[in-house]
Amino acid sequence: MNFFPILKKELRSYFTSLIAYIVLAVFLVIAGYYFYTDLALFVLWGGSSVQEGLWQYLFHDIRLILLLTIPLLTMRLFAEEKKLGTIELLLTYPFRDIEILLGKYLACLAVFSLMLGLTILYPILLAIVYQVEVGPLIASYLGMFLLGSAFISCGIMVSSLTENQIVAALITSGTIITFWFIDWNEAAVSPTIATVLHHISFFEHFYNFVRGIIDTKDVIYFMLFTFFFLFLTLRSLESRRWRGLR
Amino acid sequence: MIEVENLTKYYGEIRGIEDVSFSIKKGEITGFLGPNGSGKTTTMRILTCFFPPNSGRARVAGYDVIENPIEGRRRIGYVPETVPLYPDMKVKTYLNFVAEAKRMEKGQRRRKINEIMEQCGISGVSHRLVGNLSKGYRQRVGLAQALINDPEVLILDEPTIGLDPKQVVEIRQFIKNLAGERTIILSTHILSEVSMTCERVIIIHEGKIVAVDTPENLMERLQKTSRTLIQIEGGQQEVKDKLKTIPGVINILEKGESSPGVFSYEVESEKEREISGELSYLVYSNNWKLVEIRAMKMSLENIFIELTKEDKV
Amino acid sequence: MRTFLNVFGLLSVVVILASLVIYLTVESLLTYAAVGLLAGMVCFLIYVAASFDRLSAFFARQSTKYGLNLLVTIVVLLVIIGLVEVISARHNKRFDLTADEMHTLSPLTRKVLKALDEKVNVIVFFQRDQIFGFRDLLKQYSDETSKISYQFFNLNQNPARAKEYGASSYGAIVVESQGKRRSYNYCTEENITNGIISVTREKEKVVYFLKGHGEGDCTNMDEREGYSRASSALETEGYKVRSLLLLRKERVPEDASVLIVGGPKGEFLPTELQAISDYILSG
Repeated sequence: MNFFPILKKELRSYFTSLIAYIVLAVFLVIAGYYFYTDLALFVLWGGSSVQEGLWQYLFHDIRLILLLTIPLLTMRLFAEEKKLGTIELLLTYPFRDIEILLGKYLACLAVFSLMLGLTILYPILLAIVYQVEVGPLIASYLGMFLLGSAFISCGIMVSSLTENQIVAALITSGTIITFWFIDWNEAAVSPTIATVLHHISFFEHFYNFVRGIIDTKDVIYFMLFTFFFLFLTLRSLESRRWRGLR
Repeated sequence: MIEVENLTKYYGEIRGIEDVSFSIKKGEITGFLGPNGSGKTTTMRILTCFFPPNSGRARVAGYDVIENPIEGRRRIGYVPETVPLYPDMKVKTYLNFVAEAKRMEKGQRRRKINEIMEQCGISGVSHRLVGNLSKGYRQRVGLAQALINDPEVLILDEPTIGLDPKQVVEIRQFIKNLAGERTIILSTHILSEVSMTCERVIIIHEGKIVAVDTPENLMERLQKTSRTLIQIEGGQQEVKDKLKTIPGVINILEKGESSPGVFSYEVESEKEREISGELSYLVYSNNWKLVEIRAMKMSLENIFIELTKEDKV
Repeated sequence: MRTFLNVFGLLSVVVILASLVIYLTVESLLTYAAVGLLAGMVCFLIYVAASFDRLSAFFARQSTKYGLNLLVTIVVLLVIIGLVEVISARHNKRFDLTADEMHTLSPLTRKVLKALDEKVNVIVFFQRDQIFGFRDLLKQYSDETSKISYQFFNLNQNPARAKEYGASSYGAIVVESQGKRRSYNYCTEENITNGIISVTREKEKVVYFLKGHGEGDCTNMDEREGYSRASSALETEGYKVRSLLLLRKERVPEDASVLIVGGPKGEFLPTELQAISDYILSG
């Protein structure tokens, strides 16, 4: 599976084009601000535990920032190459489509992991003055990582459908938001449909992670989601080839 | 080296190419000639394994484009018409990426990159961003990335488009030097380019192949009549009437006044009849001042128009 | 003409889909939805008949076949994914990494559930966000035993039902089984389990506080002398609390599960002592 050249190229491109730096900076500034606010609220009102009273809210807030920043990272993955025309050369190199896809996906995942990883600073800071449980944090970070990888898979799929990066970013955001809130209005639909919606909702499967619980059904959900969208991206690439368009 | 059988490709309802068949031997330079939209790029994209045809088969360097595209691509170098490169990469970095993409051995890469940069004349810009290069240099980088893995087949889509005359000459010479071991296909709608650089010409029009031959043979086959250009100082009507009297002359075309008092005529005559002797005699006996006389070969333009007018040869 | 037909065909498909959605979701518009569905289908058939030639040419094309092939692949994949999701949801394993496993059922609850013989239904009246935590909690109950069922009602949207069950706060729950009901103010593991215990108990357990000898009174609110805290705690656990004046009675009542003699200060009559020892001897 020779995706390394593409992985390297994309990573290099993320950092030389400054896009990675900017998104990282924006993300960390806002996340830091949320950490400060949520911590202040926790100090003020307390809660049954640090996990319930602080981290839970912080990670939900971070999830919100991710919803807006990940599309910014994924929008260029295919759309830019199509716009520049470089996709024509790329697709005539000895790469299998899946190698191209994995290279790009993993590059974005790496940048995201960096983003997420830097937030470890917050628990570390807190641990200096207060007791912090590690177990629930592990669950939370696992949940965030899975969530991000699902977001990215959606983003890369949308990016492969258009040449316009802005459109790609907007549609990705919209799709992610839809999947997030899809089961919130239970009253409006019949019970069977409500159950179906529960099964496809991001929120439903993310909720337990930030409470400190790792549930296999949630892990599987995110993996299925990611797989499905990566599969769709492969088909999209293949279809473009078939139809003879760039 | 390249075999194409009954290739057909439709873009939805629009015909790209239909029933295209030809073969190219190793080491040949072949020109793909046709107006814009005739199917040149489509055929090339199929050969480079970019997309598969709707029907038909093609083999490049021994590998079927549908069944074994990865192996085929390793032996092909392709430069698309727009020469799309990544603007935010340095030249050397870019070439390194392409080398990795084409699965070159790690040890070889460095050496080969330097070699190719020398060969294409881009060593001087190796650390500049591709986006900052001029068109001429970009073209060279495009060629470099195509050549980096020593491909058996080189496919160039409109390689001289947008270059200034000096660069055009350089590129054409460059391409000619590459032939021999490599098989080269280049496409163009500039007819003179084909006759200058290519050994064989494939003429394509509206998705179908119209002719496949060497430029000379084509001219030979299509020239139904001989044409002679003659420039004479003398009265127009008189000259024209007298010229008409030569047996075998079909038509006299007046080509205007080339210099004061000197008029040009294109004398069209039957192919088998040699009229130059009689022409000279006419000039001598009428005491005309002869400025120029030469045989006109049928230009590729005429061939092209001829071929694409009605039906194939 | 062609564009008109295409638009017409597209509209009919839109009508069909919209009617289907309405049919499945909005109860009040059922008839309208059915009519819409029928009308849409008729229009669609008209469209197909009118453009039959073009449609058959379209479907014979290779690109269309490819497209349909792709669609089928995706649908099949979705079905498979759906199945995997459902199966993994039913047979899941939970790792509670919090310090005291506070989000997982306690061993006591598990014991109760294991021993549960009758069906118990839990009704929860929630407000918006609360439902997620509650659902997670109750799912654990139903994972342990199939005898537990539960329903959620949005308090704001079901005022009639709330009144019927006497629920007045967000998070209130009602535990019922075979006609017996217990209500609690908030949905917690403790309350649910207590509720289960109390509604499935075969007979009501009564705790008697002995009176008449200066014992602490179970209604006395006083911190040191009174047992009111203890008795309300017992009531929460599902016991009925009464005070017993043995002077007036010959024996300890039949339904006494527990007799509490709390710090007597006076003397006991012989009849009382006899009654008490009889009670003890009877088990």
